[in-house]
Parts: sequence; C-alpha cells; structure tokens
Amino acid sequence: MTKWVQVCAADDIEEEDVIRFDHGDRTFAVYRSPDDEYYATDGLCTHEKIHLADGLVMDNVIECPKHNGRFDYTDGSALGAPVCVNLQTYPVKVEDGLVFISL
Amino acid sequence: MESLTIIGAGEAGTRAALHLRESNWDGEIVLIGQEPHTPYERPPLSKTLLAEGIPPPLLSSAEQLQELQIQFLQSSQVAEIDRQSHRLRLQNDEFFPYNKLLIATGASARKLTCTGGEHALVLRNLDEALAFCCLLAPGKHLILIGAGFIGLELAASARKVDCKVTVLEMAQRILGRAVPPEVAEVVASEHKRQGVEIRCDIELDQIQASKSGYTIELKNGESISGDLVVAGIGAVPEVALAEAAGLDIENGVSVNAFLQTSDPDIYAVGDCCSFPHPLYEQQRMRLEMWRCARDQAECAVQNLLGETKEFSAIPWFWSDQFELSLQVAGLPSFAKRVIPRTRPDGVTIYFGLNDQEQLVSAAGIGTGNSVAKDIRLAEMLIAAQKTMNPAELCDPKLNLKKLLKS
Ligand SMILES: Cc1cc2nc3c(=O)[nH]c(=O)nc-3n(C[C@H](O)[C@H](O)[C@H](O)COP(=O)(O)OP(=O)(O)OC[C@H]3O[C@@H](n4cnc5c(N)ncnc54)[C@H](O)[C@@H]3O)c2cc1C
Ligand code: FES
Repeated sequence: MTKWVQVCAADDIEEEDVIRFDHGDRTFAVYRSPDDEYYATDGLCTHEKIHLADGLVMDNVIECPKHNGRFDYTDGSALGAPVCVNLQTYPVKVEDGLVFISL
Repeated sequence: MESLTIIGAGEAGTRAALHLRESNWDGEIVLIGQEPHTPYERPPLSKTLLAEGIPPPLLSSAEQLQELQIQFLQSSQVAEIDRQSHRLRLQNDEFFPYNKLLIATGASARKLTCTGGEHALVLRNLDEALAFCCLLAPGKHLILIGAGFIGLELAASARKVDCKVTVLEMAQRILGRAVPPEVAEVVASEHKRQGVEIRCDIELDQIQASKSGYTIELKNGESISGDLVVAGIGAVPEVALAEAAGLDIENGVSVNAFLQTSDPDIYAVGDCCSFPHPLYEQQRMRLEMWRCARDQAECAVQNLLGETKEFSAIPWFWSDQFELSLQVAGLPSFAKRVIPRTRPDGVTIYFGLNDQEQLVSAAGIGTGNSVAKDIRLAEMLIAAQKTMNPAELCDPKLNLKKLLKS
C-alpha cells in the first residue's frame, strides 16, 4: 500500500516555486508548476549533494543553486552537464488544500 | 571541420570535447593535457579537497573518454604550434597534424617576485593541492600572501584543519574590485570570527627560510614567522604557445566575438583568452571563472560546427568560505551606483546599475546557497538589459521573477 506523507498546505508553495521537505533522514524538493500542478523529487542535486530547494524554478525546470545543473522536475531528467544522473521523482496529490507525497 | 585538436584538458578543453559528442559530431577529437591526471574539476581544490580530503570530481572518466572516442593524451605537453604546416610538436618531439585547433591552456598561478619569493607555494592544479594537503596539519602556522578568492578559500580550509592562519594583503581591502566593499566586509568579519588574522595595506620586503620555517619581512621592519607560506596573488594566462606561434595576444590569447583567434583555424577559450563582451561596451576582458570556461567551450564548439554564435554569457562566479557562499553575476566594476536590497532573512543583495539605470551586476553572500535564486534572476535581468527603477529594486517585496517576465 502506498504511504502518503503530508508535506504542507497547497498555498505554502508559491506558483513556479519549490520548497524543501525533510522526512525522517531523507530530504525532498516539492514543486508547484506555473500551471498549478504539484511535483516531488529527491531533495539533493545529483552532482554534489546540494539542496535543490535553494534553486530557481522556471517553467518545468529546477536549476541547481550551486553550478546551475538543470533538471526537469516533472520527470526528474537531468538536462545536461554538469548534471548527468536523473533525479528520483515521487507521486504527489493535493487533498483538502494539503499536499501529500508518496514515498 | 574534419578533426579537432584541443590543447589543455582542463575545464574548458574537456567540456569542448564532450560537447562535440553531445552535439552528435563523430569526427576525430584529440585532447592533449600536460597534467598526469584524468580531467578533473578545479574549484574543489581550494575547498573540499583541502578541508575534507575529498578528491575533486572528474570531468569525465577515462572509460567515458574512450567510449566517446575522444583520444586523450595524458601527461603530454604541447611545445609548439606550427601554423604553416598545421601540426603540433609535443615535448617528446612527437608531431601531431591538426585540422582545427582549440587552445584551452588556462592560467597558472602568479609567482611572487620579491627576494625569497620562490619559498611561497602556489595552488592551481591537483598536484600542487595534494602537496599542500600533506603539509597542512593542526597547529601549523600558514602565512598567506594575497587576499583574493582562492587565497581566502585556502585560509578557510586551513582553519578547518586547525592551522593558525595569517593573511597579508597589499591593498587597502580584501577581494579588490571583484565584489562590492560591503560583501568584502562580510567575508572579512567571518574570517576574523573564525580566527583568521587578516592584515591589509602591508608592503612585502622578502621571505627568508629558517631552520623551523619561514620569516616574512615587511617594509616597515616588522617580521612574521610561520611554517608555510603560500602566494595567492592571481593568475597569469598561459599564452606562451600562442605567442610563439604569432597569434595576437592582449592580456591572454586575443579572440573575436566568436572566440576565434587571429588565425581562422584556431579558437581559444577559458582562462587563457581575452574576448570583447557585447553587454559590457565591447570591452575586452579575460575572466577566470568556471562557468565562463564551460560556456565558452560550448560556444566555440558550435562555431567550429558552422554556426556564428557570439559569446555573450553573463560573467558569474561563486566562492565558498566557511559556511558562507558568495555569488556574483555581471561585473561590479561597471556599476556607477549600488542599490542594496535587504531581504527579510537579513541577507543583502547588492545591485549595480550603470548610467542608463540598467543592471550590470549583482552580488550577495549568505549561508549555504541562500543568495543563489536572486543572483540567478539578476543575471537574467542583466542579460535582458532592462532599465530598472532603483526605488523598486531595493524593495524586498518586489518579485524579481515577475519583473523579468514583465
Ligand atoms: C583552486 C581554484 C579554485 C577555483 N574556484 C573557483 C570558484 O569557486 N568559482 C569559479 O567560478 N571559478 C573558480 N576557479 C576558476 C576555474 O577553475 C577556472 O576558471 C577554470 O578552471 C578555467 O578552465 P580552463 O580550462 O580555461 O583552464 P584550466 O582548468 O586551468 O585548464 C587548463 C589545462 O591546460 C593544461 N595546459 C596548459 N598548457 C598546456 C600545454 N602546453 N600542453 C598541454 N596542456 C597544457 C593545464 O595544465 C591545465 O590542465 C578556481 C580555480 C582554482 C585554481
Ligand atoms: S551541485 Fe548541482 S550542479 Fe553542481
């Protein structure tokens, strides 16, 4: 059975932005896209272990704050050097104004 | 282009080789590097390598280079570019014909010229960094000459391994014109808080070796003794090959807007070249910045493949010291005035405007990557050459992303 974990209120994430979400000893990045969809990926860049939530979201791309490695956060794909390893993504749902991710 | 030969397997040279393959080009690539290592990332040398002993990540593994059919000549120094017969001579007197050539020879650390200057270590490559690692130990007193970025990163790393650190700077303040004075002030006070002694406005006389270490003598008669002396006084572009080959040199291998040297078959990129920047009054500049080296490599490759792409990326760099990270986009030296914007978290971003109220630079420093988002947006605003309203810009409630999109 999938385990849904509550992240935050849907309004806690601005449109076209990202927040960091720590759960247990893991860390995630949870996104709200410009067209108001929610997504979640691993929280750390695959180049060096840097929190992606400090980076800039533009359309469906999160850019790492350290060396501008770019990922498509909707499917986790790495978009070119210096990042070459994709991000793991996680299912997200919004219910009663709350965001949940499935781990 | 039938084949590309690249001199220098650093950030720029290696990126060029990889980018050619990313662009699905299947011609011959020869990458020649004089260092006895697989291409590695340079910025971590003064940071995580010194402080934590973590080896720098590779730009590409030997297997990957092989898989991509990039012929990599390690420990091979190019001794001469023979433009007449289109061939290179290596140090071991082997000859290599070339079709198109990319010079990516980088820079080397500037040496101290005072008496005894040869006692000062420098840090530019992995071997120098590894040698330095072996010498750093708790309780050792490190004297660093020059308070630029690499020197200060080194100071911070040395403090992390419990060395005593004294920094001697000739200028009135640290970091020169690369950052606004306010940012330099934050860096200086963090170093002080962490126990680094920084002394500005000193005049160096000579360095003397003694039984137990080294003594620095200042012109005012004072002397300071320590176990190790390091010079962090900047870098000089590696232009010897290009110069001997008769290419135009001007504070680096001189290239045009397309990164082509005065010989149409030869391009130059990275720390070794100077280029005119279209967003900064076409002023010729040479940058020593990691991202610029990579961006130029990609731009030159596209031009070698037949495009005509002007290099116009906004200068950008970062530096990590203790838990702080600073980032600068654009060129603060072009700013006619500086607008500070203090955010609710206390971090200030310094925006530089020119006479036309266009954004030309942005600089900030904070813990972790807290300034990254603002600096990245500022970089895009600089590229967009928008006219700014200074009163708006200092208001932290102004949404930079909306401003960019408006
Ligand atoms: C310690 C350190 C820390 C840094 N930190 C940062 C940072 O935090 N942020 C930032 O933006 N930038 C930083 N930089 C700058 C950044 O690393 C450089 O801008 C970048 O490496 C330039 O790439 P390049 O390929 O032009 O030169 P390099 O990376 O220097 O590569 C040039 C290569 O060419 C080789 N070569 C030279 N001549 C020959 C020859 N005749 N034959 C064969 N090979 C040759 C050299 O040995 C070298 O391996 C740092 C630099 C150093 C040294
Ligand atoms: S840490 Fe993310 S790109 Fe380098």
